[in-house]
Amino acid sequence: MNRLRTAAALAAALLLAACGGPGSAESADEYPSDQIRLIVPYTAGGPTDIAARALGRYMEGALGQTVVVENLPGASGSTAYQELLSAEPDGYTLSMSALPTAVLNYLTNDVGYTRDSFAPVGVITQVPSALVVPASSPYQDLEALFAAARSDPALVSVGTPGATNTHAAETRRITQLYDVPLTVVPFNGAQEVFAALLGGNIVAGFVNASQDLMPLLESGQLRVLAVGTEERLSYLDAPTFVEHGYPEITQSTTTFGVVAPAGTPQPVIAKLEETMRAASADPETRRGLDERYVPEQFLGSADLAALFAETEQTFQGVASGG
Amino acid sequence: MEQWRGHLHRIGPLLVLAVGVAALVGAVGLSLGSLTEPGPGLWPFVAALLLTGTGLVLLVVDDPEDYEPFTRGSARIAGGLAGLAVFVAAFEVVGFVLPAFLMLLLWLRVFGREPWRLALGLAAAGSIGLYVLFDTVLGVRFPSDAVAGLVGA
Amino acid sequence: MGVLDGIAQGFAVALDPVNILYVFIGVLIGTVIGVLPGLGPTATIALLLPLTYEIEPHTAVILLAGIYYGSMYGGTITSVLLRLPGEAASVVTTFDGYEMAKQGRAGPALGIAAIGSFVGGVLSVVGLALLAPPLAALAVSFGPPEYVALTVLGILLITYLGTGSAVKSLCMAALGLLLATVGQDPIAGTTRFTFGQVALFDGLDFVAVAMGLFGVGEILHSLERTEKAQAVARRIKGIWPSRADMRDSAGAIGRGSVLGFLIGVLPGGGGVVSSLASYALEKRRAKDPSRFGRGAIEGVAGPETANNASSTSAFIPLLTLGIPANVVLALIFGALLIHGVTPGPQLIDQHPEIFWGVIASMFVGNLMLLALNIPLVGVFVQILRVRAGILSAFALLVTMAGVFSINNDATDMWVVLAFGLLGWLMKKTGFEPGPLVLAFVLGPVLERAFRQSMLISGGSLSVFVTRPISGGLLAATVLVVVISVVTARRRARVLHRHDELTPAEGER
Repeated sequence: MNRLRTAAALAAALLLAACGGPGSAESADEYPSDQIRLIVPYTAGGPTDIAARALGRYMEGALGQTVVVENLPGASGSTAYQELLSAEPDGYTLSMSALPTAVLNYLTNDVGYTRDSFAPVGVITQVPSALVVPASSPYQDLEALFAAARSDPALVSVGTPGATNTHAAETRRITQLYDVPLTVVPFNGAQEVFAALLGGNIVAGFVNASQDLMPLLESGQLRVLAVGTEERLSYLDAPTFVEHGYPEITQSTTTFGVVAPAGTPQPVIAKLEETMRAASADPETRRGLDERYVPEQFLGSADLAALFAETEQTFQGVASGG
Repeated sequence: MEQWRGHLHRIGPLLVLAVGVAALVGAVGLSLGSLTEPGPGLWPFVAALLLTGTGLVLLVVDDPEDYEPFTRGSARIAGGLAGLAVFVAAFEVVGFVLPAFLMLLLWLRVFGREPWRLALGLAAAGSIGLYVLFDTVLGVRFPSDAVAGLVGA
Repeated sequence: MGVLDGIAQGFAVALDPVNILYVFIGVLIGTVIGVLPGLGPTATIALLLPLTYEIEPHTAVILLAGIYYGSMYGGTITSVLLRLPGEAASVVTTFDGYEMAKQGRAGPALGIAAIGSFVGGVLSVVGLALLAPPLAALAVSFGPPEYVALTVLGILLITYLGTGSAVKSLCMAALGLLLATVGQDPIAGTTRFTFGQVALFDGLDFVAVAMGLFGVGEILHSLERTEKAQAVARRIKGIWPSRADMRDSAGAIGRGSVLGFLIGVLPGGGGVVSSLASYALEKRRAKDPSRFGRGAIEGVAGPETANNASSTSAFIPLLTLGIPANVVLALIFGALLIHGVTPGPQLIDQHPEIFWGVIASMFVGNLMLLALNIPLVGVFVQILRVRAGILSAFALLVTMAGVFSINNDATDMWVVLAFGLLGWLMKKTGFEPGPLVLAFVLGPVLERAFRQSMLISGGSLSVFVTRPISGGLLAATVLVVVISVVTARRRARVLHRHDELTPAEGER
């Protein structure tokens, strides 16, 4: 390798870094003129990944550009968000986000970003959560379980898929707001909670009602006592916490959305939002996302921003853990 | 001098001890809780206690036979590590090919004492071959590569 | 549907030309990535997952499963030749495998590992077909207290493995436990020893730590010698295991199959504990335990067999309950979800072609791996003829690239570098890396399970002895301690009486 070439290579690299991607001054009409990176903060094969790929496929068709789905798991999403925020805010780098985890993330730890660092684009899916017990559990409904907890504060252990996620935080809120002593037992992922439930090692579990829970419900090995939504779900035969007199317990739904770095031009965000709106009406994409979890009414940029703010307010007090 | 050498092997246990004590302090700072209600610091505290304890025992009983003397060759290690550090730092900026080429050259020519021609050939073939294997065939996303960028790959 | 019908259907699926092709591609990719240090099945399957979206679900799983157990075969090769263990379960293989390679017996080590892996894999497939449902029940009956007992036993076995002083093993195990606490606390979520670095929130990556301590440490150590040398100083003696080797290993392979199959069912740590347990068992049974760590072929045969058997039985909780036992299986679970198939209790009835097809394909795949690996042993052994300088340079570079690919993060490369330095220092000071990395793997399982147990039992320590399985495991642990103390005493006395000149060597 001669020296000149090395120098040229270095110069080229610097130039590339300085420009930060293609045509930063282009107008929204031309967007997108290059491939789009869609970062997934979790591993391939997980629910976020599945949603991202279904959405990515639609966007490719609609926008006429390649959408590269890239998994950057780690630090409950922080790795991905940091990568997103280090990119140019030009609409060519987007990330999936999962609420409330993304919020709990910066509330619990100093990760170098806050709500203001993101420009929300829109929501793709919302996965509600459910309080489940093994089929053989003596507690037939939520009241029986909570009554048992009140009479013996050490009795009811509730498995959650993680230590700092929604489900742990929401379970602590039940204890704080309604004085029901529940012991949060964090596991490493929902699968481990299922195993502990099946083995009778914990009394109850608070998890997402996502695809992986369904077969265990259908086979009758687990039962749902309550769901964490405002209204009943069409696909789960269970009452809500609200019905049982716990109106506050509606914050555990996981919202999967798309975010861009703050500072992304408004017209670009609008174009992406429109594409997402169309995607959530497209039958094939809906199937890919699993119809159950696609919101009936599309939630766009403003809605996602409001959700961010609301989530932050809800978990401000409990995020620090127990 | 001789006397000092005789105790050189105790540096190992002393290092262990230092790490152990530092970790003990750190663990206490994390709050220990109690055995039945462990806090975040309890488990690191137990591990650090074990480390400190074994370090203390080793300081007294360890067999000097276990220790290899440091030789002049040890300086080569420093060179090797520095080379690797430069490789990683450069990799983050200009991608794989160029740092890989230079690192292979260093190891083959300086440490391996291979003839120039063989070293250059292997370094070029190795850096490009591995780039193709990892980036192109296996789809690993290396930082954008200055050299590959030039060729237009 | 009976088991026989199921197996027949399974072979109908597995012997379909398309599926045969995918099994072959899978085991081939698995072998290749197993051979490339740092690149493990997790990273590869994550990278290849999107490519499986377009093929039939059973074919996708057949392919991904092939990569998984293929990489188990491949991982042995670097452990033996370069002392680079690609995953936790092959750490144990380096103890005797690398010693054998240094003595010019890399061929027999790799040969016996391939044969053992084949036997273990096939026996485990048979077990999977016959015993899946009862074993799934065993897997879920393992709650947090049982994991505490299991990992305590595992950590005890670690300190029993080394060749040097037990105090030094214990010291390194403690360091491993401590290093494993870097990152987010599993229960409270607070960060520990991360020094504000987000890259450390998830802790140190096992592969980066192991690669640094073992492989890079070894390479740095060899750098100190200035003369030009071949990687293996002595002549390579024989490519195939001799008849005596086979005789020595037969028992180890049989016992390793059973241990690997049974313990491998347990999610989280099952694979590591099974290879550890197999090594410890063989060392305990041996007439002359001091051969272990100095190139005993049983020390390769047993753990390698257990390792492969456990990678097969790990499918049991996934296929019967929908609970993946490790990260790789979680990815395979995801692949099925994408196809609209949710693994769970009904999988065997609703999608028999997946359940039985995958089982039958594992049989086919293991056969292919044996056929692939036996001739490859001859090729790989030739690598050792390359001059050490060239081999080291390339091994380092491939390790660095491979480690980067795990998380697409250069931080892991710095971790390799730091642990390479530590590994070299340990080698200079007579500390062994084995106890460190194994404790590093088991420590977090133990901590989490202990704290979960305390939460569930309301802070009562009696939970560990009143539950039958954890009580039994703890009793076994105590028994192991008592027996080894007693035999160590007896042996020391015998040594003392018969041979005053032999230096008193660490008994465990």
